[in-house]
Amino acid sequence: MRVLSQAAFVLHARPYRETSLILEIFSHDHGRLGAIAKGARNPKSRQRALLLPFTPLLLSWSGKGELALLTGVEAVGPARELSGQNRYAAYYLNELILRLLHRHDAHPELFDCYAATLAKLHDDDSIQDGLRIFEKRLLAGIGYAMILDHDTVSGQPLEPERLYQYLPERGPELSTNNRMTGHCLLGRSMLELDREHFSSARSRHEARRLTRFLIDKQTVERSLRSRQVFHQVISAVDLPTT
Amino acid sequence: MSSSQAIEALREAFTRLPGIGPKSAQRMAYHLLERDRNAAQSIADALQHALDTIKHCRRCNNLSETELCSLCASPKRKHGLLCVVETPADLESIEMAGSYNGCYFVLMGAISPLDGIGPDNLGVDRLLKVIDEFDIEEIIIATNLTAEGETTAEFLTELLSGRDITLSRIARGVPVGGELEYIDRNTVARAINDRQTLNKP
Ligand SMILES: [Zn+2]
Repeated sequence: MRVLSQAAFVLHARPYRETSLILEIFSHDHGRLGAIAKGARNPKSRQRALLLPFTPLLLSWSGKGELALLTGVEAVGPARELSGQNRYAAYYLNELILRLLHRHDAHPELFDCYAATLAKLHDDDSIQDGLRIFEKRLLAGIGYAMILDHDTVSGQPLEPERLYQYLPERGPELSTNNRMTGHCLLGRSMLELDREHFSSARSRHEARRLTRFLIDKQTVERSLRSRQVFHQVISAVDLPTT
Repeated sequence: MSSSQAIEALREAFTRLPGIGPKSAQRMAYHLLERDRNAAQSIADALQHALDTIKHCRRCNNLSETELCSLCASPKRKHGLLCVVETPADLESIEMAGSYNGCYFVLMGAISPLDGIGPDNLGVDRLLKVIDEFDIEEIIIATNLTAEGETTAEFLTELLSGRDITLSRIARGVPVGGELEYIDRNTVARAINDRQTLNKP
C-alpha cells in the first residue's frame, strides 16, 4: 500500500539503529501508525528537522503491517514551537492518542480536533478548555461518549443549577440528598462541556475532574506518564502559562 | 533453571540493548553459546569489571573510573564555564570539535514526557550542587535540538535563570557548507530567528 502526502503529525520519535528513527504517527485518513524513517538521523538528511512532534506535516509512506516505511516528508505552514505549560499539554494529547487509539483505526474528526487544539496551544492561553474538548471527543471517538444533556434515570434534560452524580457506566443522575458519593457536579458544568463553551471557573473545574476521571478509567494499568513528568517539572520550576 | 530458561534470559537481556530486536538477540545468544564461548567469557568479564570500577564523576556526572575524571581534574580547562549535554557521546563530539575549553555536565538523558523521563530521573539535583560547589559563572545549554532536548533546555533555563549565571543555548541554524535553497523550512525559520547582529550603528 502506498499513501501519498497524507496530513499527519509525529506523536513520538525514537532513535533506531545508527541513522534511523521509529515514528508513531497520527494521520487524517489512516489513524495511528508506526513508521520507520530510514536515514533520517543522517547528517545530510533533510527529514530530521521536520519530523518533530506538534508540527503539521504531509507524510508519504509505503507498506502495511507493524511498521510502514516513510517515503516523504513535507512541512505545512511555517515552523512554530510550543513552550511552557502548553508544551506539556501537547505531550499529554499525544500520550492520550498513543494510549487510547488503536493502530490503523481512522479518526478523521478527532484528527481535525487535535490539529485545532494544537493550533490553539500555539496561539493563546486557553489550554484547559481545549484539553477538555479534545478529551470529550476522544472518549466519544473510542466508544465511550459522555452523556452530558440528560438525566439517565428520569430521561429529563439536565437542569443547570441542580447537583448530579456521574456514574462511569451510566451517566448523570440527580443526586439524592444524602448520597454525595461519586462524581458530583452541577448540571451547568456538563451542559457547558457539551456545548464546548465554559462560563465559570467552577464549570471548568468540574468538567476537568469529570473528564480526568473517565480518562483514568480507560488508562487503568498505570497513570499517564506525561502527567507525572509535568508534575515533576512544575514542582521544580515556575513554568510560564503561555 | 533449565538450559532453555538460561538461553531465554540471555536473549531477553540482549533485547534491552538499543536497536536490538528479538531476532538479533537470539542470533547473538546462539552465536556466543555455540560458536564463541571464549568471546562470551571475555564479554562477561569486561562487563563485570566495568560495572565494578566505573562510576559517575563527582563533578561532570560522566562515566569515570576515578572520583574526578581526567577532564574535570585538568588545570587547562576553564572551571567556571559549564556545558550541559545529554549524553557522554555528545560530550565526545564537542571535544572532537576542539574549540571548547570549559567543563561539562552530562545529564544522562533528556526530559521525555511520553517515556516518563522527568527532571527527577536526570542528574538535575547533582547539577545544582555542582553549580554551588564549583562557583560556576557561565552555562552553555547544549542539549539536542530535538523535541526532548528543547523541552530540557526550557526546563534548565527556568531552573537557572534566577541565579547569577550567564546562560546561553547552542545556536540553531544553517550547517557549515549549507545552501539555503536546499535546507528544510524549520531550520531556515530558526536560523532567521536566531540571527546574529553584525554591527550596531
Ligand atoms: Zn568529570
